[in-house]
Amino acid sequence: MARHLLITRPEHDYTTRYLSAWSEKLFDLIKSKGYSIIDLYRKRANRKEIESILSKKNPDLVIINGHGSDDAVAGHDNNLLIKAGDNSFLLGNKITYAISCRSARVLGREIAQNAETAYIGYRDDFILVYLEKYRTRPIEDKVAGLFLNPSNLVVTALIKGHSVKESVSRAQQEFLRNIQKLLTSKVKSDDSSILRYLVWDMRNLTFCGDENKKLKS
Amino acid sequence: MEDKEKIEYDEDVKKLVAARLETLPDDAVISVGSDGEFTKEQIIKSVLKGDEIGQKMVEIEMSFLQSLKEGILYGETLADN
Repeated sequence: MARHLLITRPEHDYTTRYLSAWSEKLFDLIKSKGYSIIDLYRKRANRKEIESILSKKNPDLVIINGHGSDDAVAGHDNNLLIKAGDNSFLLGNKITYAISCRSARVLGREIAQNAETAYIGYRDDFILVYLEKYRTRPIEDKVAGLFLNPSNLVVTALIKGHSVKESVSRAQQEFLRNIQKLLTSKVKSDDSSILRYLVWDMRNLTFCGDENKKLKS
Repeated sequence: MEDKEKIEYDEDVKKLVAARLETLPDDAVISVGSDGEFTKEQIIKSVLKGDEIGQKMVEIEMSFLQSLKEGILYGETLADN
């Protein structure tokens, strides 16, 4: 049976462009592990499309890139995608990772009430620092990479068969490695000044629901 | 921005945080989700003004200092889930 992975990649501001570009880096690995990618890119990252795909294709893993709040995550142009008490039940029986602000607080907890379900996200704002000169070529931005490589590791670990708990832990360790690299004396003080934001994201990355859930091999 | 109870930070704390943010790269942009993207100059102004973004930056700084105290940065502990 085909295994599907659904990803949303809105691109209506620089932050979503960064998230989108760095997520795309995962595509080769995802495909190599036998998943077909359903890519809701730009305008396709809308409520109608995601509801339709979740119902019809039943993806094992859902990756949501976009802005969020305590009880909702958004798609292209900040249009509502998934909201607690509305269509969140569609993420039941799946693993979801939302690179999105604060959605683990209410939305994630609600989704995690479903059986065999896990939601990985952030308790508070997801802070991303990038350099203005790389806005049009985000993949080359090493400062952004300090944030987005650990984030990508959540997906990499899940795809490789690790549990939700292990995957989050691996990503937190990667944040920590980046933090410790910046703490060494060899880096410039302006690079180490972003430490506070890495610590923030590391501490706010969390999961709700079935911590032992893994993708089926 | 979240609905948490607003903490009024002391002027000295704001000045201290603003001074620490001066070390950010000049071309750094700080994205705070749907609240927007801010240059170094803008966030320093916000901190001194005490607006919502400024409050968030102070909260992040306080959390960072707490992490130093807890030894998180040296791998002694990691955030619990």
